[in-house]
Amino acid sequence: MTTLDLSRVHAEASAPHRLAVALREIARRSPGETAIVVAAGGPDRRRIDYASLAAMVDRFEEAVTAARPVGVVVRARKVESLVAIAAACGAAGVPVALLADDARDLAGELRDWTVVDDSLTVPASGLSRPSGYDEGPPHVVVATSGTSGPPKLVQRTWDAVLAAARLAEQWHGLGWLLVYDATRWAGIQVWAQSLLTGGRLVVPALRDPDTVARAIVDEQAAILPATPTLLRRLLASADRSLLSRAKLARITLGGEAADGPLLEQAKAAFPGARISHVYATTELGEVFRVTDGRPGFPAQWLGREMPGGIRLSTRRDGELLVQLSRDSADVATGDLVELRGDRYEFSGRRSDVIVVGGAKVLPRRVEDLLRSVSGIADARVYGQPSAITSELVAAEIVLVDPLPEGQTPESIRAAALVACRGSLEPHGVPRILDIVSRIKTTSAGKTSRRPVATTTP
Amino acid sequence: MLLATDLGLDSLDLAQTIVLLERSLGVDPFRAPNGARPAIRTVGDLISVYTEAVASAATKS
Repeated sequence: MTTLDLSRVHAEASAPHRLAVALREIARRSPGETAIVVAAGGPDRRRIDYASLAAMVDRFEEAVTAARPVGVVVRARKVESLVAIAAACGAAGVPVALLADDARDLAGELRDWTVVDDSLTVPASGLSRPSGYDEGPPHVVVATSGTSGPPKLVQRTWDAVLAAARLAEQWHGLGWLLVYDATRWAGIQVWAQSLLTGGRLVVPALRDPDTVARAIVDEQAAILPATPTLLRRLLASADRSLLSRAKLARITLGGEAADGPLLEQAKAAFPGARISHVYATTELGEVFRVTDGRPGFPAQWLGREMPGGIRLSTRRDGELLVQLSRDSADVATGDLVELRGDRYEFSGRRSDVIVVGGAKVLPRRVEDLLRSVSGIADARVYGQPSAITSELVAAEIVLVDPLPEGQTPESIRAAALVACRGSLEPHGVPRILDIVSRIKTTSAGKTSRRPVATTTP
Repeated sequence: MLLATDLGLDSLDLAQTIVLLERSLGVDPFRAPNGARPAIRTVGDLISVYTEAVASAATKS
């Protein structure tokens, strides 16, 4: 496979066709090249080469072209099926919906669409398109991650889906780790990027730190896209000797704000890796990328036109606003930023604010403080509903393993409370502080802000 | 014994106590479905509100 061929595919194929055309081209030149490694780091590891993947795309494109469904809802368990269905739908001009498990209820909104599973067959029961039916260009329907409010369906063009993919030669043939759900915006970006550029998509068997670390090492993954929460868990809990053998060239963080200490830890653990932080939302796509390894973004970015015509500004309360082009309206992001020195740093999401007796507490600030306490590997802070004060600040902490010498779980817990009382207003100090074995995350891999289920029926 | 005057409990302390009691007893009498919140001034008030809530939860189940 020469770079020239792939670059031609990227330049000539229209966005909806691009994945299918690229897969076929790579399969033609390097049929036995690994496209996807599934269950990596586990006993059932399996590899799928480009020839097999392209054959799946061909088979499904033929089926979907013959059946002409209004749209296809992907209900595949296997990543390779999902990729083949999406690529074939793009090429066949059929809209496709990729819905994560927690968004399955929304499929009701697409009831005329045909559901396709791992069998890659188009059931005869689905409605087919009347002739002359035109819904505009083929598109992709995904669900938002539900970080702020319940998940909802959004429709994106293939141009938007593939807009952030890096197609230059330096990005060809690399090993990409997929720790995100393949149906989510962040996950789609990873598999599309990897497969458009002849890369190896590495899907770990499980998302626990040791399996992920083993997948990185065994499959020589070069690029790790992850949320700060997932990276923190990897650094805190994965086998050290395993991590030291990783050959990561890049870590791309997204989905949440990355704090300074995490960036420092990542640099120390993976000295050969460049660390960047992508600010993107399902609604806006990629807005900007910070590559200097520091938290937040340069203060001078605010109010000035950035590459791509994007302008950033803030509301009076610090909420970040994004204007995608000169003639479009500001979009409220729900993310709060504050000026610290020459940087704007993310202080949390507006919807995460905990209200304690009328006073506001940003959980991220408390989490950063807890994580700075010796013996604490990770922390999550949430609002515990209260009839007296509306909410109470509650926290869960994960301890380092092994514990620092001379410390006990109780001594660490006490030190955490002392640290909080020393730096926070009384209402910001966690009133509930539990030691847990792992931090609860959302299905998008972000730290959950939901309270622990109470025992009340 | 008065919760505020004698024990120095403020509203945050009381809210914390209620969450901890809910964890061990499985009831929160302050989250009544009809919105009525029991008036609590003394340790005795707290004990009787919880005794009643635990008994009523036991008869329901």
